[in-house]
Amino acid sequence: MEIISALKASNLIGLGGAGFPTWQKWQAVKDSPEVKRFVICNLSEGEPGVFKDEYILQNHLPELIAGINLAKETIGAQRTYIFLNDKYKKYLPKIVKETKGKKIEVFIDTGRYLCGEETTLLQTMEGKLRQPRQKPPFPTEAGLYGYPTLINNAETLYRAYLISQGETEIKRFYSLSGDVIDHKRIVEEKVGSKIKEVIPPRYLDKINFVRVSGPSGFFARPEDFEQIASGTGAVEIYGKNRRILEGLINSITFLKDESCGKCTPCREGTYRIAELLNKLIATASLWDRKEILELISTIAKTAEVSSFCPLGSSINRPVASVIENFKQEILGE
Amino acid sequence: MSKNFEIKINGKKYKASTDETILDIAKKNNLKIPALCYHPDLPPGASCRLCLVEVSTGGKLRIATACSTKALDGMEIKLDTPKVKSARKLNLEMLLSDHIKKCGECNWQSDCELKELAKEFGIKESRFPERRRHFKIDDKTNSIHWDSSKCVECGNCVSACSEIAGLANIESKYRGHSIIFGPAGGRSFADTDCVFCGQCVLRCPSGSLQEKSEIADVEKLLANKKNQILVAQFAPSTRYSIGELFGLPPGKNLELKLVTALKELGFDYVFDVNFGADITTMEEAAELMERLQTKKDEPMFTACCPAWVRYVETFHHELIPNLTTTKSPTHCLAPAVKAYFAKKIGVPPSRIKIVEIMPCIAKKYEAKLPEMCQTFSPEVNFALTVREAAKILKNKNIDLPELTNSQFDSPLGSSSGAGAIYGSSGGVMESALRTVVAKLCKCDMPKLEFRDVRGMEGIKEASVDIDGEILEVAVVSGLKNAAKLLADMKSGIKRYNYVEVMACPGGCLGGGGQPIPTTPDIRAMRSATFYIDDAAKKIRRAHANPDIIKLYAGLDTKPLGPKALSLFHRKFKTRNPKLKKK
Repeated sequence: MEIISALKASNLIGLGGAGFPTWQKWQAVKDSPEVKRFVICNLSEGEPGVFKDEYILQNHLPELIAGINLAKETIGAQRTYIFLNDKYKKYLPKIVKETKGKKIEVFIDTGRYLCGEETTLLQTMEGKLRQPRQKPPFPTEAGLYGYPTLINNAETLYRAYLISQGETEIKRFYSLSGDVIDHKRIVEEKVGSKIKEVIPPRYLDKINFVRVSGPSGFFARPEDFEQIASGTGAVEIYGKNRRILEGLINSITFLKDESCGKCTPCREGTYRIAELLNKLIATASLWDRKEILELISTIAKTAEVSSFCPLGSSINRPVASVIENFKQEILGE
Repeated sequence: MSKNFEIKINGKKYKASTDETILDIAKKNNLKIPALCYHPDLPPGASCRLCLVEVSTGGKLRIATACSTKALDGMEIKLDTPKVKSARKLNLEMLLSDHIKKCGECNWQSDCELKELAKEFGIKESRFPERRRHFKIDDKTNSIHWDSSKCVECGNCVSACSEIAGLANIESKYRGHSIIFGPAGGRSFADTDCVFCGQCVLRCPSGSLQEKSEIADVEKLLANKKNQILVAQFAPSTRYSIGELFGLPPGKNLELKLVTALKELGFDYVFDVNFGADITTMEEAAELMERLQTKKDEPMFTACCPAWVRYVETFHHELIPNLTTTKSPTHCLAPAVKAYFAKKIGVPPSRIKIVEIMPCIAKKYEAKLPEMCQTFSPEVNFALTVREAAKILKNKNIDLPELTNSQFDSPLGSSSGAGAIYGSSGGVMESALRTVVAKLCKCDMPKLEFRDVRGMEGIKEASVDIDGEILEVAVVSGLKNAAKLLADMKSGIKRYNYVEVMACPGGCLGGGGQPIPTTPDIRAMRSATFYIDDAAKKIRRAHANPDIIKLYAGLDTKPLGPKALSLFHRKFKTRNPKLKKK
C-alpha cells in the first residue's frame, strides 16, 4: 500500500501535542505545485514532563531516521532538517553517525516550549523574531523561507515508519513521572489510552491528582482517570500531600515565562493569572476567593478564544480543568 | 489571483474579494470594528486582539481578528456578539493596566485611541495593578523620546522601522510579559543608527514613542521675552495639516490664520519657510546647472531632508560628494533672517530668536547640528513639530480655525508657487526643474509643470528635455525605497542626473512630526491642496520672485556667490554605523 493511504488508514495523528492528521500534512506538501520543499523533524521537546523524544533518541534512532527518510522521499523534499533541542546535544554524535550519507541536517537550538508551535520553529530556523506567524498560510503551503514544509514531531515520524513496515495497531509513548513512582519512565500503550491504563495499578491509590500533557494540559483526579491521556502523552503524578493550586501555579508560571509576548491575551493574561493565583493563596475569605477564581476563569477563557496561536489558546485547559474538578479543594464547596 | 464574491456581516450582504481582510470590507462599508495596533501602512501584526469578530465558515464558528483574516466565500461575520465584546473588553482592560497613563505629556491628548476605546467599551477602572511604572525612558537624542512604561507591545514601531525606513533600529527584547520594544542593541536611540524620520512615532498607538518635547522651552521663551526679537517660521506642509488637530479635514490651508495665531502668542515676526524654499531652489538649481556642465559628482541628490542626509552620512559615505550642499529651506530662511532682515531692522542677530514649526522630528536634530551653527550659533533656536505647535496654541486657548487672517511679514514672507509644493514628494525636484529649464531653454514657453514627479508612489522617474538634452531624474519617498533605488543605481540598471529623496512616505506631508493619525488617505488629502495653491500663484518660479531678487541684491551676492555659499550651504560629516549589520 502507498504510504499516505496507509497513514490515512492507520488514523495516525501528530504526537507532538496538536493531534493533526498526519496524512493530510504529507498529502498537502506532496501535492504542492512548488518544486522546492522541506522536511523538518521537530525534536525541540521543551515541556516539563515530556521525554518521549529523548527515549526515541536513546532506543529507536535508526527507525526515526528511516521515518525521516520516508517522509523526505514521499514528499520529494530538497532538504531535510532535524530541529534538535539544545539539551539533547549529547546525542549529536549518535545522530551524525546514523544520518551519515543521508543528507539530513541538524539544527541545534535552545528550542523551548515556543518551538512546539510550527511557525515559531520556522521563525527560529530563519533567524527571525521568535514569534508565531499568521496562519494561513500553513507551513505545508509556505513554510521554511516560504516553501512548502512538512513539520512532524519525532515520534510521529517514528510511528509513520512502523506503519510503512506493516504495523497496524498504533501505539504511542507516554511519559510517566512525578511523585510516588521510583523513577520517570516511558510506557508504550495504544493511542487514545485512558489515564488509568497508562499508570501502573499499584500506584493508583497513592495519587491525589495528575497533570496530563504538561503545563498546557489538564489536571485530573483519580475519579477522572477514565479520560484519555491526550496531547503530548505526558502524565505527571502528584502525591497525596500535594495541593492542586501548587500544580496550577506551576503550569501558569511556565506558560507565563514561555509566552513569546506577542499578543495581549497570552502575554498579559498569563501574567495576571499568576498574580491572581498568588493572591488566591493569600486570601482567607471564601467570598473573595470565589471572586478571584471567577476573574481567573474569565481571563483564561478570553485567552482561549482570542490568542494569536494555539499555545495562547491552551491557557484555559489547565485553568478550566481545575475550576471544573477541584472547586471543592479551593473553595471548600 | 483574487476572486470576487459576497460575504455576510451582521446578516447583511457585502461585496468582497480574497485580497481583502474583514477589516478592509468593514471600513469600506462604514462598519465599525475597534482596532488599536492596526495601521494601513503596515502589514497586520494582529497582536492587540481588539478587532475580534465572530466568523463562521461552513458552519464552523470561531473568533478571529478582523485585521488579519482574509475574506472567504460563504463567510458569515457577526461584529458585536456578547462573547466578542467581553473578550475585547478584557483584552483592553489588560492593555490599559500595562500602559502607565502619563496623559499630560502625551502626543495623543484629546484623541487618544486607548482612551476612546476605554470609553466605548465602558471600562471605568482596571481591576489589575500597574506593572511597568519604572520601565526605561530614553531622552538622549535631540529628536526622540521613548518611554517604555507607556508601551502596549503592539510592535508597530518595529515594522515601521523595517517596512518604511528599511532599517532595523527598533527591536524587541526578552519574552512574555517582560518583552520590551525599543532601541536595538542598546539602551538609547543614541546608540543606534536611527535617522530620526519619526515614522515609528506616527504609528505608536500608546504615545510610548514621541518627539522630544520643546514645548516648555518655547513657552518659557515667550513668557520671558525681554528685549529679544521673536521670529516664527513654518514649513510648507505645516499649514495644510495643523488644522487636523483642531478638527478640520486634512488639506485645509491655514497659513494666514496661523500667522495671526503666532502673533497672538507673542512672536514679533512670522516668516514663511516657502520663501526659504525659493532660496533653496535658487541655490540648488545653480548647483545642478554647474554639475550638468562639469559632469562632476553626478547624479546630484537633494539634501533638504535631514533624515536622508543622516542616512547617507551613516550608510553611504561614497555618496556624500553627490549631495547638494544647499541647506534645507528652513535653514536657508533662518540665516536670511539673521543676516539680512536683522540689518534691515537694525538689530544684532544675537537678539533674534527663531522658532520653526516643522512636520518633522529630524529637524530637532538638524537644528542642533554643529554644521548648522557655523554662521550663527544657532541658526534656528527651537524646532517644534506640528503637534507641539498645536499644543502650545491650545494651552493658550487659541482656536486656530476661528481666527482672522494676517499676512506674513515682509520681505521674507512672499513666496512663489515653487516654494508651495516643497512639502510633497517631488516638490523639490519640480521647483528646481522649473528654474533650470527656464534658465537653460531657449524656447519662449519653457515647461512649468512636471506631472511625472508628482503623486504618492514611492519611486517616480521622469526624463526632462532641455533643448534636446535629456535630463534623467528620479523622485523617492520612504527610505526603504531609497535603498532600493541606490541598489539599482549601484548595479548600473538605473542612471540619473538628479535624484530627490525624502525619508517619509509622500514627502514632508507624511513626516514624523505631522498630526496623528497619518494614513495613505490623509496623506493624499494633504497633498491635493499643494498643487491647487501652486497653480493659483502668479509667480511660480523661484527666480522670478521679486523678494528673492531683492534679497540677493541686499546681500550683494548671487546664487553660489561667496556670501551665498557662507549662508546657504553646508558641510557633511561621515558617521560610522553603530549597529552591526545582520
